[in-house]
Amino acid sequence: MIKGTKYFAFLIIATLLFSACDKDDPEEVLEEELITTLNYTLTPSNGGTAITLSFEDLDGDGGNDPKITGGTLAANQSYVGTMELLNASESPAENVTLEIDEEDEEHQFFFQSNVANLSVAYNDKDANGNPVGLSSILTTGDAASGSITITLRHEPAKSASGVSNGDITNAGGETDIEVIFPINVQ
Amino acid sequence: MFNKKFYIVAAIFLFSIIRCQAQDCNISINGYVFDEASELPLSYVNVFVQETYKGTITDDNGNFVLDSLCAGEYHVQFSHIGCEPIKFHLDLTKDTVLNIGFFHTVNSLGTVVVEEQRDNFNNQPNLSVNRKTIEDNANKNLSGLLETETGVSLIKNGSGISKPVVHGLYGNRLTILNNGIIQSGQQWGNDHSPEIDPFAADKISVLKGANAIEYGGSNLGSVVLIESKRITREPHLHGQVNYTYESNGNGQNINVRLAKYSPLLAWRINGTLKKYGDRKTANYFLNNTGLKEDNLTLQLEKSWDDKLFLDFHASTFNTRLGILRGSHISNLTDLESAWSREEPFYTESNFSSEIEAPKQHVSHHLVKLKAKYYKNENQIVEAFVAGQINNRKEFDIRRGGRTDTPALSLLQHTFNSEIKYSHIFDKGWKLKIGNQNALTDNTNNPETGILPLIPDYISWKSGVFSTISKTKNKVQFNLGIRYDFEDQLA
Repeated sequence: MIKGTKYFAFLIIATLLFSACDKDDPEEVLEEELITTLNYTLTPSNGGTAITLSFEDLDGDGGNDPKITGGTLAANQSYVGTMELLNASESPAENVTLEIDEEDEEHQFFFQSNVANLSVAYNDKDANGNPVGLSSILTTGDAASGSITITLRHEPAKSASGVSNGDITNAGGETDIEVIFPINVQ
Repeated sequence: MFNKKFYIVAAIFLFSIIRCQAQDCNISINGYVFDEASELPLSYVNVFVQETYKGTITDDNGNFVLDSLCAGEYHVQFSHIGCEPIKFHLDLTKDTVLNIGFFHTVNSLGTVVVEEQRDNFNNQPNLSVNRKTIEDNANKNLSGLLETETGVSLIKNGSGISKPVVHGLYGNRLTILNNGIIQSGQQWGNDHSPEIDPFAADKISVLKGANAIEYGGSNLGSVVLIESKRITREPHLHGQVNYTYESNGNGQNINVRLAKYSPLLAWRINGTLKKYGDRKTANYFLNNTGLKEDNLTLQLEKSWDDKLFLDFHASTFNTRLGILRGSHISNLTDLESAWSREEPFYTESNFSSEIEAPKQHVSHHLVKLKAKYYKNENQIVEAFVAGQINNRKEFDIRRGGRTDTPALSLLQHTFNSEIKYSHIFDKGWKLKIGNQNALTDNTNNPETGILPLIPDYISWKSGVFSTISKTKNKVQFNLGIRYDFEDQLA
């Protein structure tokens, strides 16, 4: 009987102790590795108005659908492409491009196109002489339409066969972001 | 050191000579060995006295006689095909009668339940893995050991990470009871394997049906029980060392177990160390598939007049698990390309035992104090209090030098208490009633820099249950009711 009493005493104490304190709200965390925005700006090499292909998903994976803006490009034209990555969930928006630039040996963009005669070539190199893709040259052919898939891989095997030529097949690594832009060449 | 040992040995030697001279050597042990289940006599059971190297076998009626023994301390062993041997210590002073019940099962698992007379309050578990199987499969983790059982399957996430699935239920729907305590970890994730060292256990069983109602948690019908035997009443220090080497992965397991009984205090220590490097397929090494584990368990037992038993149990489990880099994917495109590869990404041509990100660091600590009181032959009161700490850190490949910062870091504190009363009535009716309480405090460590997947929470859970069971001939009847109350504050 004494044991029972003690047990109930313990119960009551425990209940009092634990119901007395509410769980504090967790400390606010600033999401560090989110990429909410990708802007691929294409400037015609002979001057003219730049076109920006953009992807924006402010609430990260899931939730609201991302906003994807494709573009219309001129036929038989060459463009200088500049990549910009942002984490706009923070204020002010964090420029992720700088981080990629700092760790350029560990990152590479891949451009896959199903638009006839459209090709993308790398216009930059990391310290090991391998391409990164923050800067690129896009060349269009005759009028066509389709899409370009831009993929950023973290820690790809840059020395694997074909990877430095922009072939993603043997790259491996983790996909940081992958976006499909609709493209129209006129 | 050696001198001292020799001195003790010599003293025992002398002492036994004196005793032998002083007393006659005509003491006999006789007895009867039977099958616990059918209650029929068991013939051809080997009875062996370790100290004298003499033995006998039981006759057709299960009887045996060992005579011409001197007074003294002996270890007597009973063994029979298909059963785990029963061994115990005997302080022989006069003619002794031993009646031994073997739990002789025909099924290939060779389940043996060594039960003291009073411990038959337990309803029989449906399936079980015994100590022998655990020792023989030292390279397997808890889930791997259960895999061979009917109705149990696994979710595997690479080397060392696997979760048991019973009848399609897993995670928090499958309660795992580690020495009577609901294992409290991060059961929500597919890659969160139970943080238990199977080597510290003597028996692992899966309980299904109404009996499972006795155990709280969010289980929907099945319970995995991990139990250690009571420390054998063996006044000498007994120990066991198991070492396993696995050539694939250069895997080494070492387990040491020491136990000693004394009326003052009985103790048992169990320690396990595991180390595996990268596993190899026919042509290449799988990068980052190693694991490191170190576990320690301490058991203390004390009893008063065989009426009141006090048990203390403390254990710590620490593991570092590597995750195959080539299987680490971030989206469906990665998954597709991983599937279509003939050889996974990141294979190596050289062996390495490095564990790098992606990896998991998991620690689980448990402390339990239990009291059991036998009011009389038919009434038992049991109570325990227990505390657990579960710390899980998962590391991903991250940008900006953050790979060394965990992507997931959780700290969980759990307190459990239970009180249970069992009563055996006439005609084989058994009644159990009890109350269980659990308090869980789960905290995300903000060090990760990533929005946590699950919120911080405190959960308070209380439950009462009652089961009635009766076995008549071959029919077993079970009835149970349970009421749970849960309050969650997230």
